Amino acid sequence: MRAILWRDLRHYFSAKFIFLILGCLLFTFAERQSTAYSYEQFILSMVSEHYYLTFCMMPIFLIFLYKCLEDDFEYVLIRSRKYTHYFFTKSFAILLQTLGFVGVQILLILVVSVGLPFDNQFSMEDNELFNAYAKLFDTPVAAIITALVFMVIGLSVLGIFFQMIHHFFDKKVTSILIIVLYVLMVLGLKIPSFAEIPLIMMNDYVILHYSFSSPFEWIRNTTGIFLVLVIVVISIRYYWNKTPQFNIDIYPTGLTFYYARLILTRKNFMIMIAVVSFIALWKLFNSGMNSEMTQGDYFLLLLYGHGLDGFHMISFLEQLILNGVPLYLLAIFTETLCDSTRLDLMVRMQRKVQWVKAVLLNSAAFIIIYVLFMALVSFSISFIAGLQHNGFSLPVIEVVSANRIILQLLYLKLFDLMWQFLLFFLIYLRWKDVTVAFLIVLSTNALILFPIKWLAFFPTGISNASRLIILEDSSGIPILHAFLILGVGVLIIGGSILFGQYNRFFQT
Amino acid sequence: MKRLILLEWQKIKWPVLGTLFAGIVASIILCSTLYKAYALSSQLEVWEIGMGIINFVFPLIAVLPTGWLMYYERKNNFLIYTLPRVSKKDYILAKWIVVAGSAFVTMFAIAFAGVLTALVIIPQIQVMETVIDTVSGQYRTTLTDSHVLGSLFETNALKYGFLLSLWKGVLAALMASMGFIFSLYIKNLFIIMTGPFLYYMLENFTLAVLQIPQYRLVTSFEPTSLSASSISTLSMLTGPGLAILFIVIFVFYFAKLKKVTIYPS
Repeated sequence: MRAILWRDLRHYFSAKFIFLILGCLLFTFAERQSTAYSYEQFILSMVSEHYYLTFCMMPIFLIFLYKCLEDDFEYVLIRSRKYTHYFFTKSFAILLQTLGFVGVQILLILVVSVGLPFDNQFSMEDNELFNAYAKLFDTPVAAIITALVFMVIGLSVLGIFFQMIHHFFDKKVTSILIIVLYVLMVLGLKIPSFAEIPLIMMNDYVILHYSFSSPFEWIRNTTGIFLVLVIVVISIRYYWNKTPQFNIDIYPTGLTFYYARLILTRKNFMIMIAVVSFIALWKLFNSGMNSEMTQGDYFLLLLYGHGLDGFHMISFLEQLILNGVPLYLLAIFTETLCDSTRLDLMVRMQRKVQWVKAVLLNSAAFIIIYVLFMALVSFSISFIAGLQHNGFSLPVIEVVSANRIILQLLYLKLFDLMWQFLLFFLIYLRWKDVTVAFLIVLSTNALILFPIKWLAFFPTGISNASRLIILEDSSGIPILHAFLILGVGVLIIGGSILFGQYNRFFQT
Repeated sequence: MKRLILLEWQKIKWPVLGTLFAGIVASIILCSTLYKAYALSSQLEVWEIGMGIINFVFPLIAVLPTGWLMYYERKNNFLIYTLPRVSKKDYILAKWIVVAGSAFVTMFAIAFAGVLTALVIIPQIQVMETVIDTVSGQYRTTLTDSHVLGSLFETNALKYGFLLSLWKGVLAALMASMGFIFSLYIKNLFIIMTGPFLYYMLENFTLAVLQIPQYRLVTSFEPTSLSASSISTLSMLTGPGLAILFIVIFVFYFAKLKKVTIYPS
């Protein structure tokens, strides 16, 4: 066992440490040039300098770690009584390596900062970081020691975790995982909402003061460390000889999944994403990208549709395309349904209602996915464009919350599309003609062009923001009414299809 | 050839005649009602206003009556039985002539019925000159600027209407040809029937978004659908040119790359 330990350590501490030393010296000298801190406080500030830690120390640590991962040699394994012994000896080696890794840096910092005045007290009143430390520790030296211990523990737990991953998978998977986790960590620095994702942010385990902002974070991060350790111990202790196998190729059977494979295809998804991104991007550039535009405005404009009065060609076309894409793809799907030689399917079906259930389930899933795509694409575009989050700049009546209105609009869009599909399907069952059914449903979008008041209550296209009372002086209907109308419409048509009308498909 | 064409005509006679009749009736009704809400400065503008809806759905008028002709013969392998009797080229050509020809005649008749309604049937409108030239302080007619062959529009409205109806017929024939080409390679009736309409909508939207609405197919179909006076001969020809380009690319993709055959193989 001692031989393994020595071998690992010799392997680790080699000439490559020059990179670490150089990087550390560079950062420390740069910081020391303009510092006004005392000796102890400067060291504390270096130990918690998160730019240095994330962009210099972590990558070097991960690269060193990765280079030391090697396949288990048989002549080494054969001399260990148990695999567990072998593994945890190597884990202990990682702990010692990390100790050395951190020790080298702290030594360098100690040496470089010689000459600063000694003062083992928190004297910087306006420094947020030091204030946070001062609440928990009496002196900077105590804080430094705690931060270093935390760092050693965190880094070695990460190292042991990657060692386990390497044992169960191969080097490729380990490298991909390391890169993904590192990228997530860097993104987490820039995007606050990313950093909220629990347990997968590596720097939470390494940098002590990231846990300061709330007690919840302490619990989260310490649980994270323990969880990783427990997972490693259990999986190595009991499952060390197993090779994980993932059977992703599951083929569920039945009519529903048969249809799902016809409709939920990658090609259809690509078409949906392409159309939605095109319209969303156009909306972004068309609305001028002025600095006042908020995320709420952007969503509202995207879901605005065609207004109630007049005729505006482009917004009408935009509405037709945005609402028509899922309907069109579903219509193609419906056409293949009745076109394929379906006798073999029908013979194996136990009850006819299974067929209509399969079709409706798949269509609902398809529409839900479309609305999700819409939300995701427009959210990411608004995010990349750097739109502000605070409410609306458009004249909106009594804003409760921008997120809530957007969510309501998306739900309405979902129901609206479902209503259009159900109407289409009902007409299809009636006349067995996809083209006619599609064109009729499409033309119901044009009903609002007629100057008749009560046509504003017709469900098709009612999810457009222009037809609801959201903006001031809009001539629409309240959101609640729209929900009611769509709900009743979907229930009536869906019910009539499910309880009776579907039989028409089987009558020739 | 003549017999072949007559044979094909027999197959699609009733749908085409039905569309023709319904379209003419719709055109007369639209042209004799819609204009009342507008202030017009020329008698033929009645026709332009009445045709608004037809402009929007003209690919459907062109494709729906005839698009299924080839589809069913490919689907039930009827085409195999024509092989010993007639050459492939002749058969397809005859079909295309009938499809494009009936679309041309239908659209021309619908449009020209509207012209006649506007010029002959409905009473003389009250001419409203609303635009005043700010420099000279006099009435200015913008009609010449906003129309192709604007001078003809003012002097001889009937001839203008006749020529534009012919052009509309040609574009309808182009759309019907697109549907026909679709039906040669695609085995989904829904895509065949609505494909040209979808192309028309997407092209319309995309070019409008790209800020070049003068090159849309609908601008070529109805030059006054654009308020700006940027209509030129080029803008009349670009829309159809793009459609032909699309057809060529489509045929190249399906025949050469995907190697789909028209006749069952």
